[in-house]
Amino acid sequence: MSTKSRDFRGVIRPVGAVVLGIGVMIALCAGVGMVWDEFAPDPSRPQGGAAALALSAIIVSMIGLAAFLYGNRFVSERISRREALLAVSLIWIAAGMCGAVPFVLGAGMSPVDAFFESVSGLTTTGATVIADIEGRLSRPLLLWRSLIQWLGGMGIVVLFVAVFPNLGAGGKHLFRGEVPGTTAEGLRPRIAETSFTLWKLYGVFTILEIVLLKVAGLDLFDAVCHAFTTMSTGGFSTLDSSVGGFDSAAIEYIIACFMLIGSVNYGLYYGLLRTGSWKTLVRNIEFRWYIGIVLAAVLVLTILNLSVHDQILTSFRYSFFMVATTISSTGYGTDDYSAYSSAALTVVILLMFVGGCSGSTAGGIKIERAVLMGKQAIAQVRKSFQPSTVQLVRMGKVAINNQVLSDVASFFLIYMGCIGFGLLFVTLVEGVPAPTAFGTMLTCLSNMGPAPFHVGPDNFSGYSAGSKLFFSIAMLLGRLEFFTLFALILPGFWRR
Amino acid sequence: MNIVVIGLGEVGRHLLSVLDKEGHDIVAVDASAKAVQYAEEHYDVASIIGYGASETLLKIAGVTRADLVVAVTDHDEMNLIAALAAKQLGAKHVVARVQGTAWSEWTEGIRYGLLGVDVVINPRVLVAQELSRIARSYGASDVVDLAQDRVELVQIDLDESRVLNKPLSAVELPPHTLVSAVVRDGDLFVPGGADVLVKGDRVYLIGRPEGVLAAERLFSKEREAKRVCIVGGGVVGKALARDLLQQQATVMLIERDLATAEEVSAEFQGIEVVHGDGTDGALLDEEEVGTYDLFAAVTRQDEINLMAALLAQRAGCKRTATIVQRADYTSIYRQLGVDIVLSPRTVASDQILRFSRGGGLHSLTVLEGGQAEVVELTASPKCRAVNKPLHRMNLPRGSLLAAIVHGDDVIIPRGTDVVHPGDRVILMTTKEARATVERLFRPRGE
Repeated sequence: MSTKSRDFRGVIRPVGAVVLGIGVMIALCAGVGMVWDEFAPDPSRPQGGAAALALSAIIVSMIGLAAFLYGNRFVSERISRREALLAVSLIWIAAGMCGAVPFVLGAGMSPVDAFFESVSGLTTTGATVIADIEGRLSRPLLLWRSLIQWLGGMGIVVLFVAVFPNLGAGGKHLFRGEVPGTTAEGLRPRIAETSFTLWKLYGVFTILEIVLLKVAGLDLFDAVCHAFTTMSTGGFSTLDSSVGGFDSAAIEYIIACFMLIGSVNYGLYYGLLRTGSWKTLVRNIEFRWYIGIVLAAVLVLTILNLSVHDQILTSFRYSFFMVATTISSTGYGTDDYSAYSSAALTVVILLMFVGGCSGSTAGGIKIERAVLMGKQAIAQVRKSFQPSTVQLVRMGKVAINNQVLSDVASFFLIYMGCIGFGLLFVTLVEGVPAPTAFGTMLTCLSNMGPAPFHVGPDNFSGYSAGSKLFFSIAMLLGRLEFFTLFALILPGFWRR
Repeated sequence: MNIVVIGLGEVGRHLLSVLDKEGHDIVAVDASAKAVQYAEEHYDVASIIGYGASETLLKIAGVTRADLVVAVTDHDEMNLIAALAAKQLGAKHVVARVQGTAWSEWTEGIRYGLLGVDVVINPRVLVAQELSRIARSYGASDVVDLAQDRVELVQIDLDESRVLNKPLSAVELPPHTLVSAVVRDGDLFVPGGADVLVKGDRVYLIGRPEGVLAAERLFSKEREAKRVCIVGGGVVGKALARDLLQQQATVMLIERDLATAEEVSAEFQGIEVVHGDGTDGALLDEEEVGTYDLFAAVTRQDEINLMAALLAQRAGCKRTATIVQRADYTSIYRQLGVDIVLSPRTVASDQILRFSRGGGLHSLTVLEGGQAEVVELTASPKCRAVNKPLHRMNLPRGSLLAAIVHGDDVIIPRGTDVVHPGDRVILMTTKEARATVERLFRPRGE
């Protein structure tokens, strides 16, 4: 090890621990899937897969265990900021690789395809390279595909911090590496408890949705899988035709509501439970904007879509689902938006840009950032004619300091920069039209799933291996909100 | 426990580091963004930037649900107001620290219920009291009173002594005393009868005060300090002078500032006040500092204290004492040859930490940078340790039952002694054994 670079071996142990955990999760899916097939067989799906998953579980666990034991020698007393950023990045990349193993062994996918599918799951994007889900994936595999999305939704690092409470301030750095931006307000002082609280809320919502979906008439297996991918705002479905395939208004409304629930700041739910008063929720500025945007978008889309769906109620049903799935960056489909008018499609794309609330499982720029940027812009314009007036940007009563504002501005800059670079890359490598390339980049960076302006069937199977890797990185960047991964590129990060 | 710490100076930070490790839910408050950022970076706590006495801020910090609120900013009045406001908002226990000259007349280091604040700590007075106890002892470098002064714990660094190089069982300790711990090369252990003391060891003696005094004669050649020279006429200096006068010691006080020197001289009759610089070697020689039994440098400036102590040592003074603001410098001072090093910050945070330990815990003293603790607690009637002889109590290795306070009686226990329900016990325990020991004396299942 050269004297000029830092010693980062302290990150081996946490990464190993997470990989080991993923191995255990794969084993769980193999077991549950097998038992399910045994007692309630479903002849319409492909059989088997449990053995492949069990093998994957063994391989992944062994690697994880080896890394964990090896890393035990380099435990740093407290995980530093740098170590945390590196650990979070490595955890996500390693999780993506490990999550791919069952797809390679169980569904015979190429490693790159499997990695794309796995990362798309973990980052809760929900874009797929599998054109024939119903014909190719057995129950254990489907379960795994949904579970990685569920794990990635609230965050594997957050789960890690919840499970290992002795990380101290290091846990806080890890947490921030995965959940950047403003902190979830009103949560517990200790980071491990915060993480645990978040996962508890997440788990309760998931169970609630499973029950409701079951009551609405969905098969239990589909209910579990869809609850996993709804709460995480991921969007993987067990059907090729996605949620639309169930053709049930009740199920669509339930799923739409839970997607909307999932894209609200979880800190607000905690505040609601603790104080028992709706004030924490209603007084939150971001939440107000969120509700406002949802209502406005549903109204506009319902009217615009009257050209596609003749009846107002039908139009409302599909438009409501479309708004929910888009603003939450879930990406289920019940409606074909390629038939939409340009204005309606623009509404959808704008929703994709904005995304859900901060501190939620949704992707995109986040409403808080969008609102702050808007207010900052107004303040700057006002400054042009009132230069000596103090122009504070406020969120409700709280004045936002300049540090946060420049954070938001750089975030937006990086976001747009990535879209620009991606546009260039995809058009150059794949030779697709610019709108198509734009659609793919937007969907990857905002962890949405379906790509607007797509040519042919709406999946990523047609792209080259290089592009699939590129998209995978874009999805990771979007999920970790850029700063964590980009920090590693700067040489100063590695220097002593 | 929900704890709010207001003020992130040295004491605040030290509290955060200890309380964080113990797993409490902590909210840290300070007016300086830099201090808050430091706390954020190093400890697993929530933090707020702001004025600690503001009601809005205290509410956001969650004092209404707090079990303990500690106010340790640099401003005494702010500490009192913040503690008071927190108490009114519903905090269970509030503690404030004061340290300015306005509070220098206090004869107690801790006041309970002052202005409605549960505990007000005056660490400078506490330090002075500790120094005067050390002056009274025979060669101890630290003295701690326990069980309302009925049990004493003293620290002695062994030089030449009759107790060296033979097994402890062959040392005839005076009645009602115990060797509770030995520190050798920086490592602390609880000795058994077969252990042999060697030169350079530091021992902790515990027992009834009269017994401990007799034991000190055995372990050290030093005698009670009859003549004490103090440098610095601040809060510590004055409190120390007052205590020493009560002990009928001869006191000389050196103060650089003429006005302060005159003030001290007016306040205390019978002490010699010298107007001069305590770091002036010629002055120290002239005043024959070498003939004094104890030299205590207690100004507010660490450098002055250190230099004065070293000069006094060179002038021939046998025992030197200093106070140090930066607690982490303690070991360096000792290495340089200062015999007694006390830190008001450590004293303050030790006191505050006592309130963070729940149950029947009355007091707690941390030894050797946290390697061991002396815990004083009430034996619950429902706990496992009561009503059975000591040798059947299953105390873990590294722990020692040092004293049983039964009514007005203090027993330094032997194998057949029994702890009765409601007795106060004083336990000495290493960090590792602490949880197990405390469990023995807590009600079952708690």
